Amino acid sequence: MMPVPEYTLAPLGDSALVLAFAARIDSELNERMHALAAALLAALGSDRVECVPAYHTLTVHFDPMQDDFETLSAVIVGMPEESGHALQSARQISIPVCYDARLAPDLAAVAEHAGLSTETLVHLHSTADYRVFFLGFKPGFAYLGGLPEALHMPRRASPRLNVPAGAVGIGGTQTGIYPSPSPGGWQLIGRTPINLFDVQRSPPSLLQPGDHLKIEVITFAEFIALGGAP
Amino acid sequence: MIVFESAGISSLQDLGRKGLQNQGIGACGAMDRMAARVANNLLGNADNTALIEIALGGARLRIAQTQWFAITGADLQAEADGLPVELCRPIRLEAGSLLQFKQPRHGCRAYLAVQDGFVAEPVLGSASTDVRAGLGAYQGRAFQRGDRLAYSPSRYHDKAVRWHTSWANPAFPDTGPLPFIPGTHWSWLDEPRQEQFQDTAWQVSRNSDRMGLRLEQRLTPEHPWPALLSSGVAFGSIQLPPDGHPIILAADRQTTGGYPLLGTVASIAHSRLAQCRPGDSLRFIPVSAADAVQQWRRREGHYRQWRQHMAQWWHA
Repeated sequence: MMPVPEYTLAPLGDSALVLAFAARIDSELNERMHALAAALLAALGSDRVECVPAYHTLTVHFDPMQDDFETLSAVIVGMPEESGHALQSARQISIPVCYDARLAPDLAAVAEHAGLSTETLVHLHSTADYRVFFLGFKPGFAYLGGLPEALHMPRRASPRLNVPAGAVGIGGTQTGIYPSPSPGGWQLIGRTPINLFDVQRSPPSLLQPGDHLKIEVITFAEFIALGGAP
Repeated sequence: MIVFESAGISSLQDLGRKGLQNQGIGACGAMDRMAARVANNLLGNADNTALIEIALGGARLRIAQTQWFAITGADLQAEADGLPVELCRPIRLEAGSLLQFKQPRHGCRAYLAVQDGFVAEPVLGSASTDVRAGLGAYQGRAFQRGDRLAYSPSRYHDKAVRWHTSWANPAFPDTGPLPFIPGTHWSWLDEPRQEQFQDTAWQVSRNSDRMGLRLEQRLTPEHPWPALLSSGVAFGSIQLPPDGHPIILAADRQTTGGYPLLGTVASIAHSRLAQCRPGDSLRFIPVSAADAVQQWRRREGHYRQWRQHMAQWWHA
Protein backbone atom coordinates (compact mmCIF):
# COMPACT_ATOMS: atom_id res chain seq x y z
CA MET A 1 0.00 0.00 0.00
CA MET A 2 1.25 3.48 -0.84
CA PRO A 3 1.90 5.56 2.25
CA VAL A 4 -0.28 8.65 2.41
CA PRO A 5 1.99 11.64 1.89
CA GLU A 6 1.83 14.23 4.65
CA TYR A 7 2.51 16.96 2.15
CA THR A 8 0.68 18.55 -0.74
CA LEU A 9 2.09 19.33 -4.18
CA ALA A 10 0.80 22.35 -6.09
CA PRO A 11 1.90 24.14 -9.25
CA LEU A 12 3.57 27.53 -8.83
CA GLY A 13 2.89 28.65 -12.37
CA ASP A 14 4.10 26.44 -15.24
CA SER A 15 7.81 26.42 -14.30
CA ALA A 16 7.78 25.60 -10.59
CA LEU A 17 5.94 23.57 -7.98
CA VAL A 18 5.62 23.76 -4.22
CA LEU A 19 5.77 20.86 -1.86
CA ALA A 20 4.18 21.92 1.42
CA PHE A 21 3.71 20.39 4.84
CA ALA A 22 1.34 21.91 7.42
CA ALA A 23 2.78 25.32 8.30
CA ARG A 24 4.99 25.36 11.36
CA ILE A 25 8.46 26.48 12.40
CA ASP A 26 10.14 23.25 13.36
CA SER A 27 13.82 22.29 13.03
CA GLU A 28 13.08 18.67 12.19
CA LEU A 29 10.57 19.55 9.46
CA ASN A 30 12.96 22.14 8.06
CA GLU A 31 15.77 19.52 8.01
CA ARG A 32 13.44 17.35 5.96
CA MET A 33 12.94 20.17 3.45
CA HIS A 34 16.72 20.43 3.03
CA ALA A 35 17.07 16.65 2.80
CA LEU A 36 14.37 16.48 0.11
CA ALA A 37 16.04 19.31 -1.80
CA ALA A 38 19.38 17.51 -1.69
CA ALA A 39 17.84 14.20 -2.75
CA LEU A 40 16.00 15.83 -5.66
CA LEU A 41 19.14 17.65 -6.80
CA ALA A 42 21.13 14.42 -6.57
CA ALA A 43 18.49 12.55 -8.58
CA LEU A 44 17.85 15.13 -11.33
CA GLY A 45 20.89 17.42 -11.35
CA SER A 46 21.17 21.17 -10.95
CA ASP A 47 20.67 21.74 -14.70
CA ARG A 48 17.17 20.37 -14.41
CA VAL A 49 15.87 21.69 -11.09
CA GLU A 50 16.54 24.54 -8.70
CA CYS A 51 15.38 23.85 -5.14
CA VAL A 52 14.42 26.54 -2.63
CA PRO A 53 13.73 25.09 0.82
CA ALA A 54 11.90 27.22 3.39
CA TYR A 55 10.36 26.49 6.82
CA HIS A 56 7.72 23.95 5.77
CA THR A 57 7.90 24.12 1.99
CA LEU A 58 10.23 23.18 -0.82
CA THR A 59 9.87 25.13 -4.05
CA VAL A 60 11.23 23.39 -7.14
CA HIS A 61 11.90 25.53 -10.22
CA PHE A 62 12.18 23.67 -13.52
CA ASP A 63 12.37 24.17 -17.28
CA PRO A 64 8.92 23.60 -18.79
CA MET A 65 10.55 22.38 -22.03
CA GLN A 66 11.89 19.38 -20.08
CA ASP A 67 9.53 18.84 -17.18
CA ASP A 68 6.07 19.69 -15.98
CA PHE A 69 4.06 19.51 -12.79
CA GLU A 70 2.80 15.97 -13.42
CA THR A 71 6.14 14.36 -14.24
CA LEU A 72 8.06 16.03 -11.44
CA SER A 73 5.32 15.28 -8.91
CA ALA A 74 5.63 11.62 -9.85
CA VAL A 75 9.40 11.78 -9.31
CA ILE A 76 8.94 13.41 -5.91
CA VAL A 77 6.23 11.02 -4.73
CA GLY A 78 8.36 8.07 -5.85
CA MET A 79 11.46 9.23 -3.99
CA PRO A 80 12.46 7.06 -1.03
CA GLU A 81 11.81 8.99 2.19
CA GLU A 82 15.03 8.14 3.93
CA SER A 83 16.65 10.11 6.68
CA GLY A 84 19.19 11.61 4.28
CA HIS A 85 21.35 14.16 5.99
CA ALA A 86 21.28 17.14 3.71
CA LEU A 87 22.82 19.54 6.15
CA GLN A 88 26.39 19.20 7.22
CA SER A 89 26.94 18.42 10.86
CA ALA A 90 25.72 21.59 12.56
CA ARG A 91 28.43 24.24 12.51
CA GLN A 92 28.71 26.70 15.37
CA ILE A 93 29.19 30.21 14.04
CA SER A 94 30.05 32.98 16.46
CA ILE A 95 29.13 36.51 15.46
CA PRO A 96 30.21 39.61 17.38
CA VAL A 97 27.33 41.98 18.06
CA CYS A 98 27.49 45.41 19.68
CA TYR A 99 24.32 46.46 21.53
CA ASP A 100 25.54 50.00 22.24
CA ALA A 101 22.71 52.54 22.05
CA ARG A 102 24.58 54.37 19.26
CA LEU A 103 24.03 51.32 17.05
CA ALA A 104 20.70 50.20 18.48
CA PRO A 105 18.02 52.84 17.89
CA ASP A 106 15.14 50.59 19.02
CA LEU A 107 16.82 48.90 22.00
CA ALA A 108 14.96 51.02 24.56
CA ALA A 109 11.60 50.57 22.81
CA VAL A 110 12.01 46.78 22.66
CA ALA A 111 13.02 46.67 26.33
CA GLU A 112 9.97 48.72 27.28
CA HIS A 113 7.68 46.54 25.13
CA ALA A 114 9.11 43.41 26.79
CA GLY A 115 9.00 44.94 30.27
CA LEU A 116 12.72 44.25 30.72
CA SER A 117 15.80 46.29 31.46
CA THR A 118 18.06 46.76 28.43
CA GLU A 119 20.70 44.66 30.25
CA THR A 120 18.29 41.72 30.57
CA LEU A 121 17.18 42.16 26.98
CA VAL A 122 20.79 42.04 25.74
CA HIS A 123 21.49 39.04 27.96
CA LEU A 124 18.44 37.15 26.65
CA HIS A 125 19.09 38.03 23.02
CA SER A 126 22.82 37.28 23.11
CA THR A 127 22.68 33.97 24.98
CA ALA A 128 19.97 32.30 22.88
CA ASP A 129 20.89 29.50 20.47
CA TYR A 130 19.78 30.48 16.97
CA ARG A 131 19.45 28.03 14.12
CA VAL A 132 19.55 28.96 10.43
CA PHE A 133 16.39 27.60 8.81
CA PHE A 134 17.05 28.86 5.30
CA LEU A 135 18.42 31.77 3.30
CA GLY A 136 16.08 34.14 1.52
CA PHE A 137 14.72 37.69 1.31
CA LYS A 138 18.06 39.00 0.06
CA PRO A 139 21.60 37.70 -0.55
CA GLY A 140 23.09 36.45 2.70
CA PHE A 141 19.97 36.90 4.82
CA ALA A 142 19.34 33.99 7.18
CA TYR A 143 15.92 33.13 8.57
CA LEU A 144 16.76 32.27 12.17
CA GLY A 145 14.78 30.27 14.69
CA GLY A 146 15.23 30.53 18.44
CA LEU A 147 14.29 34.09 19.43
CA PRO A 148 13.14 33.91 23.10
CA GLU A 149 9.42 34.55 23.32
CA ALA A 150 9.89 37.44 25.75
CA LEU A 151 11.56 39.37 22.91
CA HIS A 152 8.85 38.95 20.27
CA MET A 153 7.79 42.40 19.11
CA PRO A 154 5.88 43.64 16.07
CA ARG A 155 7.70 45.43 13.27
CA ARG A 156 7.82 49.21 13.26
CA ALA A 157 4.63 50.86 11.99
CA SER A 158 6.58 52.58 9.23
CA PRO A 159 9.74 50.96 7.88
CA ARG A 160 13.06 52.81 7.85
CA LEU A 161 14.26 53.80 4.40
CA ASN A 162 17.82 52.91 5.22
CA VAL A 163 18.91 50.15 7.55
CA PRO A 164 22.71 49.75 7.60
CA ALA A 165 24.49 46.49 6.78
CA GLY A 166 25.08 44.40 9.88
CA ALA A 167 22.03 45.74 11.74
CA VAL A 168 20.53 43.16 14.11
CA GLY A 169 16.76 43.36 14.29
CA ILE A 170 13.62 41.84 15.71
CA GLY A 171 10.50 41.50 13.56
CA GLY A 172 7.57 39.66 15.11
CA THR A 173 8.77 36.22 16.21
CA GLN A 174 11.96 36.46 14.19
CA THR A 175 15.39 37.93 14.63
CA GLY A 176 17.97 38.45 11.94
CA ILE A 177 20.89 40.44 10.59
CA TYR A 178 20.68 42.71 7.53
CA PRO A 179 23.55 41.60 5.24
CA SER A 180 23.51 44.82 3.18
CA PRO A 181 21.93 48.26 3.49
CA SER A 182 18.22 48.24 2.67
CA PRO A 183 14.87 49.62 3.72
CA GLY A 184 13.46 47.62 6.62
CA GLY A 185 10.78 47.50 9.26
CA TRP A 186 12.48 45.50 11.99
CA GLN A 187 13.29 46.87 15.45
CA LEU A 188 17.05 47.48 15.50
CA ILE A 189 18.79 46.41 18.69
CA GLY A 190 22.44 46.04 17.70
CA ARG A 191 24.98 45.76 14.92
CA THR A 192 27.73 43.37 13.81
CA PRO A 193 30.90 44.58 12.09
CA ILE A 194 31.15 41.23 10.27
CA ASN A 195 30.43 41.00 6.54
CA LEU A 196 27.75 38.34 6.09
CA PHE A 197 27.81 38.27 2.29
CA ASP A 198 30.84 38.39 0.01
CA VAL A 199 30.76 37.33 -3.64
CA GLN A 200 34.47 36.44 -3.40
CA ARG A 201 33.62 33.77 -0.83
CA SER A 202 32.25 30.35 -1.75
CA PRO A 203 29.49 30.06 -0.80
CA PRO A 204 29.10 33.83 -0.58
CA SER A 205 26.84 33.69 2.47
CA LEU A 206 28.64 33.24 5.80
CA LEU A 207 25.57 31.63 7.37
CA GLN A 208 24.29 28.38 5.86
CA PRO A 209 21.15 26.35 6.59
CA GLY A 210 21.55 24.20 9.69
CA ASP A 211 24.23 26.42 11.24
CA HIS A 212 23.89 27.40 14.88
CA LEU A 213 24.61 31.01 15.57
CA LYS A 214 26.04 32.23 18.86
CA ILE A 215 26.33 35.91 19.66
CA GLU A 216 29.48 37.29 21.22
CA VAL A 217 28.74 40.66 22.86
CA ILE A 218 31.29 43.35 22.03
CA THR A 219 31.76 46.95 23.13
CA PHE A 220 31.50 49.99 20.90
CA ALA A 221 35.33 50.26 20.88
CA GLU A 222 35.64 46.63 19.81
CA PHE A 223 33.01 47.21 17.10
CA ILE A 224 35.17 50.02 15.69
CA ALA A 225 38.37 47.98 16.07
CA LEU A 226 36.78 45.14 14.07
CA GLY A 227 36.15 47.55 11.21
CA GLY A 228 32.58 48.54 12.03
CA ALA A 229 31.37 51.91 10.74
CA PRO A 230 28.89 53.55 13.13
CA MET B 1 32.93 50.83 -27.23
CA ILE B 2 29.59 52.44 -26.47
CA VAL B 3 29.38 55.63 -24.38
CA PHE B 4 26.28 56.65 -22.43
CA GLU B 5 25.68 60.35 -23.08
CA SER B 6 22.54 59.89 -21.04
CA ALA B 7 21.43 56.63 -19.50
CA GLY B 8 17.72 56.92 -18.65
CA ILE B 9 16.79 53.78 -16.73
CA SER B 10 19.11 51.24 -18.26
CA SER B 11 21.15 48.32 -17.02
CA LEU B 12 23.26 45.42 -18.21
CA GLN B 13 21.32 42.15 -18.28
CA ASP B 14 21.45 38.58 -19.49
CA LEU B 15 19.18 35.67 -18.59
CA GLY B 16 20.04 35.87 -14.90
CA ARG B 17 21.50 33.76 -12.10
CA LYS B 18 20.76 30.07 -11.88
CA GLY B 19 20.81 27.77 -8.91
CA LEU B 20 21.48 30.37 -6.23
CA GLN B 21 18.01 31.12 -4.94
CA ASN B 22 18.67 28.82 -1.98
CA GLN B 23 21.43 31.30 -1.06
CA GLY B 24 18.94 34.16 -1.07
CA ILE B 25 20.38 35.34 -4.39
CA GLY B 26 17.66 36.37 -6.82
CA ALA B 27 17.30 35.14 -10.40
CA CYS B 28 17.44 38.70 -11.82
CA GLY B 29 18.07 38.90 -15.61
CA ALA B 30 16.21 40.61 -18.45
CA MET B 31 12.58 41.45 -17.66
CA ASP B 32 11.47 40.45 -21.16
CA ARG B 33 13.56 37.34 -21.63
CA MET B 34 12.08 36.52 -25.02
CA ALA B 35 12.89 40.00 -26.38
CA ALA B 36 16.43 39.71 -24.98
CA ARG B 37 16.93 36.30 -26.58
CA VAL B 38 15.55 37.52 -29.91
CA ALA B 39 17.92 40.52 -29.87
CA ASN B 40 20.91 38.25 -29.34
CA ASN B 41 19.70 35.68 -31.78
CA LEU B 42 19.30 38.27 -34.55
CA LEU B 43 23.09 38.67 -34.30
CA GLY B 44 23.89 34.99 -34.01
CA ASN B 45 24.80 35.40 -30.32
CA ALA B 46 24.00 32.84 -27.65
CA ASP B 47 20.70 33.53 -25.85
CA ASN B 48 22.48 34.38 -22.60
CA THR B 49 24.80 37.07 -24.02
CA ALA B 50 24.97 40.32 -22.01
CA LEU B 51 22.94 43.20 -23.47
CA ILE B 52 21.46 46.54 -22.44
CA GLU B 53 17.91 46.85 -21.11
CA ILE B 54 16.44 50.34 -21.52
CA ALA B 55 13.17 51.24 -19.78
CA LEU B 56 10.91 54.01 -21.07
CA GLY B 57 13.54 55.78 -23.20
CA GLY B 58 15.59 58.85 -22.42
CA ALA B 59 18.89 57.17 -23.32
CA ARG B 60 21.54 58.53 -25.71
CA LEU B 61 24.40 56.25 -26.70
CA ARG B 62 27.46 57.15 -28.76
CA ILE B 63 28.73 54.27 -30.88
CA ALA B 64 32.53 54.52 -30.84
CA GLN B 65 33.23 51.52 -33.07
CA THR B 66 31.38 50.14 -36.10
CA GLN B 67 29.44 46.93 -35.34
CA TRP B 68 26.17 45.07 -35.88
CA PHE B 69 23.42 45.77 -33.34
CA ALA B 70 19.82 44.72 -32.84
CA ILE B 71 17.00 46.37 -30.93
CA THR B 72 13.96 44.42 -29.74
CA GLY B 73 11.22 44.71 -27.14
CA ALA B 74 9.53 48.05 -26.62
CA ASP B 75 9.28 50.59 -29.44
CA LEU B 76 11.04 53.54 -27.80
CA GLN B 77 11.26 55.48 -31.09
CA ALA B 78 14.92 54.61 -31.53
CA GLU B 79 16.86 56.86 -33.90
CA ALA B 80 20.39 56.68 -35.25
CA ASP B 81 21.69 60.14 -36.11
CA GLY B 82 18.11 61.39 -36.23
CA LEU B 83 16.75 58.66 -38.53
CA PRO B 84 14.35 55.99 -37.30
CA VAL B 85 15.95 52.61 -36.66
CA GLU B 86 14.17 49.42 -37.62
CA LEU B 87 13.43 47.05 -34.77
CA CYS B 88 13.92 43.29 -34.76
CA ARG B 89 16.61 43.07 -37.45
CA PRO B 90 20.39 43.35 -37.54
CA ILE B 91 21.50 46.97 -38.03
CA ARG B 92 24.99 48.15 -38.75
CA LEU B 93 25.94 51.31 -36.88
CA GLU B 94 29.05 53.23 -37.91
CA ALA B 95 31.63 54.61 -35.50
CA GLY B 96 30.51 58.02 -34.31
CA SER B 97 26.76 57.42 -34.67
CA LEU B 98 24.42 58.62 -31.97
CA LEU B 99 21.75 56.10 -31.00
CA GLN B 100 18.80 57.64 -29.21
CA PHE B 101 15.86 56.08 -27.40
CA LYS B 102 13.15 58.70 -27.04
CA GLN B 103 9.72 57.80 -25.64
CA PRO B 104 7.71 54.62 -25.62
CA ARG B 105 5.23 54.14 -28.45
CA HIS B 106 4.60 50.50 -27.52
CA GLY B 107 5.75 48.70 -24.42
CA CYS B 108 8.22 49.65 -21.74
CA ARG B 109 11.58 47.92 -22.12
CA ALA B 110 13.82 47.77 -25.17
CA TYR B 111 16.89 45.56 -25.57
CA LEU B 112 20.07 46.60 -27.36
CA ALA B 113 22.35 43.73 -28.27
CA VAL B 114 25.70 43.90 -30.06
CA GLN B 115 27.28 41.15 -32.12
CA ASP B 116 29.49 38.93 -29.92
CA GLY B 117 28.16 40.71 -26.83
CA PHE B 118 29.26 43.48 -24.51
CA VAL B 119 32.39 42.74 -22.51
CA ALA B 120 31.26 41.77 -19.03
CA GLU B 121 32.80 39.74 -16.22
CA PRO B 122 29.96 37.68 -14.74
CA VAL B 123 29.24 37.97 -11.01
CA LEU B 124 27.88 34.77 -9.48
CA GLY B 125 27.44 33.28 -12.92
CA SER B 126 25.67 36.19 -14.59
CA ALA B 127 26.31 39.68 -15.95
CA SER B 128 22.81 40.79 -14.96
CA THR B 129 22.38 43.81 -12.72
CA ASP B 130 20.49 43.38 -9.46
CA VAL B 131 20.46 46.97 -8.23
CA ARG B 132 19.00 46.21 -4.79
CA ALA B 133 21.59 43.54 -4.06
CA GLY B 134 24.38 45.53 -5.73
CA LEU B 135 25.27 42.56 -7.93
CA GLY B 136 26.22 42.57 -11.59
CA ALA B 137 29.02 42.88 -14.08
CA TYR B 138 28.72 46.66 -14.39
CA GLN B 139 29.65 47.57 -10.77
CA GLY B 140 26.33 46.14 -9.62
CA ARG B 141 24.50 49.32 -10.58
CA ALA B 142 22.36 50.85 -13.32
CA PHE B 143 24.10 52.84 -16.07
CA GLN B 144 24.86 56.54 -15.63
CA ARG B 145 25.90 59.32 -17.94
CA GLY B 146 29.53 58.85 -18.95
CA ASP B 147 29.63 55.06 -18.54
CA ARG B 148 31.44 53.08 -21.21
CA LEU B 149 30.92 49.52 -22.32
CA ALA B 150 33.33 47.64 -24.56
CA TYR B 151 32.54 45.14 -27.33
CA SER B 152 34.56 43.27 -29.96
CA PRO B 153 35.39 44.57 -33.42
CA SER B 154 33.10 43.64 -36.28
CA ARG B 155 33.70 40.34 -38.09
CA TYR B 156 31.15 40.78 -40.88
CA HIS B 157 31.23 43.75 -43.19
CA ASP B 158 29.03 43.16 -46.21
CA LYS B 159 26.02 41.27 -44.94
CA ALA B 160 22.88 42.43 -46.72
CA VAL B 161 19.78 41.96 -44.56
CA ARG B 162 16.99 41.35 -47.10
CA TRP B 163 14.52 39.73 -44.77
CA HIS B 164 12.15 40.52 -41.95
CA THR B 165 11.58 38.18 -39.07
CA SER B 166 8.20 37.22 -37.75
CA TRP B 167 9.79 37.41 -34.31
CA ALA B 168 8.61 40.91 -33.63
CA ASN B 169 7.99 41.29 -29.93
CA PRO B 170 5.33 38.71 -29.07
CA ALA B 171 4.07 41.03 -26.33
CA PHE B 172 2.37 43.51 -28.60
CA PRO B 173 -0.26 42.15 -30.92
CA ASP B 174 -1.73 40.37 -27.91
CA THR B 175 -4.21 42.35 -25.81
CA GLY B 176 -6.25 39.48 -24.37
CA PRO B 177 -6.40 38.58 -20.69
CA LEU B 178 -3.20 37.23 -19.12
CA PRO B 179 -3.38 33.51 -18.44
CA PHE B 180 -2.51 32.63 -14.84
CA ILE B 181 -2.26 29.33 -13.04
CA PRO B 182 -4.29 29.58 -9.80
CA GLY B 183 -2.07 29.27 -6.73
CA THR B 184 -2.17 27.89 -3.22
CA HIS B 185 -4.40 30.63 -1.82
CA TRP B 186 -6.73 31.20 -4.78
CA SER B 187 -9.30 28.99 -3.06
CA TRP B 188 -9.18 31.30 -0.02
CA LEU B 189 -11.11 33.83 -2.12
CA ASP B 190 -14.86 33.28 -2.18
CA GLU B 191 -16.54 33.00 -5.58
CA PRO B 192 -17.60 36.65 -5.92
CA ARG B 193 -14.03 37.74 -5.24
CA GLN B 194 -12.57 35.23 -7.67
CA GLU B 195 -14.93 36.73 -10.24
CA GLN B 196 -13.98 40.24 -9.20
CA PHE B 197 -10.31 39.38 -9.76
CA GLN B 198 -11.08 38.14 -13.28
CA ASP B 199 -13.56 40.88 -14.19
CA THR B 200 -11.41 43.82 -13.14
CA ALA B 201 -9.35 45.74 -15.69
CA TRP B 202 -6.38 46.15 -13.34
CA GLN B 203 -4.33 49.31 -13.69
CA VAL B 204 -0.55 49.07 -13.43
CA SER B 205 0.66 51.46 -10.71
CA ARG B 206 3.53 53.90 -11.12
CA ASN B 207 5.23 52.15 -8.18
CA SER B 208 6.07 49.26 -10.47
CA ASP B 209 9.64 48.33 -11.29
CA ARG B 210 11.89 45.37 -12.05
CA MET B 211 10.96 43.87 -8.68
CA GLY B 212 7.25 43.76 -9.34
CA LEU B 213 4.17 45.31 -10.89
CA ARG B 214 1.84 46.85 -8.36
CA LEU B 215 -1.82 47.12 -9.26
CA GLU B 216 -3.98 50.16 -8.47
CA GLN B 217 -7.29 48.61 -7.47
CA ARG B 218 -7.89 46.57 -4.36
CA LEU B 219 -9.20 43.14 -3.65
CA THR B 220 -10.04 42.63 0.02
CA PRO B 221 -10.88 39.21 1.38
CA GLU B 222 -14.08 38.82 3.37
CA HIS B 223 -12.08 38.23 6.57
CA PRO B 224 -8.44 39.10 7.15
CA TRP B 225 -6.20 36.16 6.18
CA PRO B 226 -3.81 34.55 8.67
CA ALA B 227 -0.12 35.45 8.50
CA LEU B 228 1.94 33.03 6.42
CA LEU B 229 5.46 31.69 6.71
CA SER B 230 7.80 32.71 3.88
CA SER B 231 8.05 30.36 0.94
CA GLY B 232 9.49 30.30 -2.61
CA VAL B 233 8.02 32.53 -5.33
CA ALA B 234 8.43 32.78 -9.12
CA PHE B 235 8.38 35.32 -11.96
CA GLY B 236 4.73 36.25 -12.44
CA SER B 237 3.57 35.19 -8.97
CA ILE B 238 0.57 37.31 -7.95
CA GLN B 239 0.77 38.24 -4.27
CA LEU B 240 -2.06 39.73 -2.28
CA PRO B 241 -0.63 41.81 0.60
CA PRO B 242 -2.88 42.94 3.48
CA ASP B 243 -3.50 46.34 1.82
CA GLY B 244 -5.35 44.52 -0.97
CA HIS B 245 -3.27 45.85 -3.89
CA PRO B 246 -1.96 42.82 -5.79
CA ILE B 247 1.74 42.68 -6.68
CA ILE B 248 2.98 40.63 -9.64
CA LEU B 249 6.57 39.61 -8.98
CA ALA B 250 9.15 40.15 -11.72
CA ALA B 251 12.87 39.70 -12.43
CA ASP B 252 14.29 41.36 -9.29
CA ARG B 253 11.86 39.62 -6.94
CA GLN B 254 13.11 38.25 -3.66
CA THR B 255 13.65 34.50 -3.57
CA THR B 256 10.96 33.91 -0.94
CA GLY B 257 7.84 35.81 0.06
CA GLY B 258 5.29 35.70 2.84
CA TYR B 259 2.13 37.09 1.21
CA PRO B 260 -0.75 34.90 0.00
CA LEU B 261 -0.36 33.82 -3.65
CA LEU B 262 -3.42 34.06 -5.88
CA GLY B 263 -1.57 32.45 -8.75
CA THR B 264 1.29 32.80 -11.19
CA VAL B 265 1.12 34.31 -14.69
CA ALA B 266 1.93 31.72 -17.37
CA SER B 267 5.40 31.90 -18.98
CA ILE B 268 3.90 32.68 -22.37
CA ALA B 269 2.64 36.01 -20.97
CA HIS B 270 5.81 37.07 -19.11
CA SER B 271 6.88 39.32 -21.98
CA ARG B 272 3.61 41.19 -21.66
CA LEU B 273 4.21 41.76 -17.95
CA ALA B 274 7.69 43.06 -18.72
CA GLN B 275 6.31 45.46 -21.31
CA CYS B 276 3.63 47.02 -19.04
CA ARG B 277 3.87 50.72 -18.35
CA PRO B 278 2.23 52.53 -15.45
CA GLY B 279 -1.40 53.15 -16.39
CA ASP B 280 -1.70 50.09 -18.66
CA SER B 281 -4.60 47.83 -17.88
CA LEU B 282 -4.47 44.07 -17.40
CA ARG B 283 -7.05 41.34 -17.13
CA PHE B 284 -6.51 37.79 -15.93
CA ILE B 285 -7.93 34.44 -16.95
CA PRO B 286 -7.22 31.13 -15.18
CA VAL B 287 -5.56 28.27 -17.09
CA SER B 288 -4.27 24.88 -16.00
CA ALA B 289 -0.54 24.36 -15.58
CA ALA B 290 -0.74 21.65 -18.26
CA ASP B 291 -2.29 24.03 -20.84
CA ALA B 292 0.24 26.72 -20.00
CA VAL B 293 3.11 24.28 -20.55
CA GLN B 294 1.63 23.19 -23.90
CA GLN B 295 1.44 26.76 -25.11
CA TRP B 296 4.97 27.51 -23.95
CA ARG B 297 6.39 24.42 -25.63
CA ARG B 298 4.78 25.36 -28.93
CA ARG B 299 6.21 28.87 -28.88
CA GLU B 300 9.62 27.79 -27.59
CA GLY B 301 9.80 25.06 -30.23
CA HIS B 302 9.26 27.65 -32.98
CA TYR B 303 11.80 29.96 -31.40
CA ARG B 304 14.45 27.25 -31.31
CA GLN B 305 13.91 26.44 -35.00
CA TRP B 306 14.35 30.09 -35.88
CA ARG B 307 17.43 30.30 -33.66
CA GLN B 308 19.10 27.56 -35.67
CA HIS B 309 18.19 29.40 -38.85
CA MET B 310 19.76 32.64 -37.68
CA ALA B 311 23.01 31.01 -36.57
CA GLN B 312 23.31 29.44 -40.03
CA TRP B 313 22.54 32.73 -41.78
CA TRP B 314 25.35 34.58 -39.99
CA HIS B 315 27.93 31.87 -40.33
CA ALA B 316 27.07 30.84 -43.90
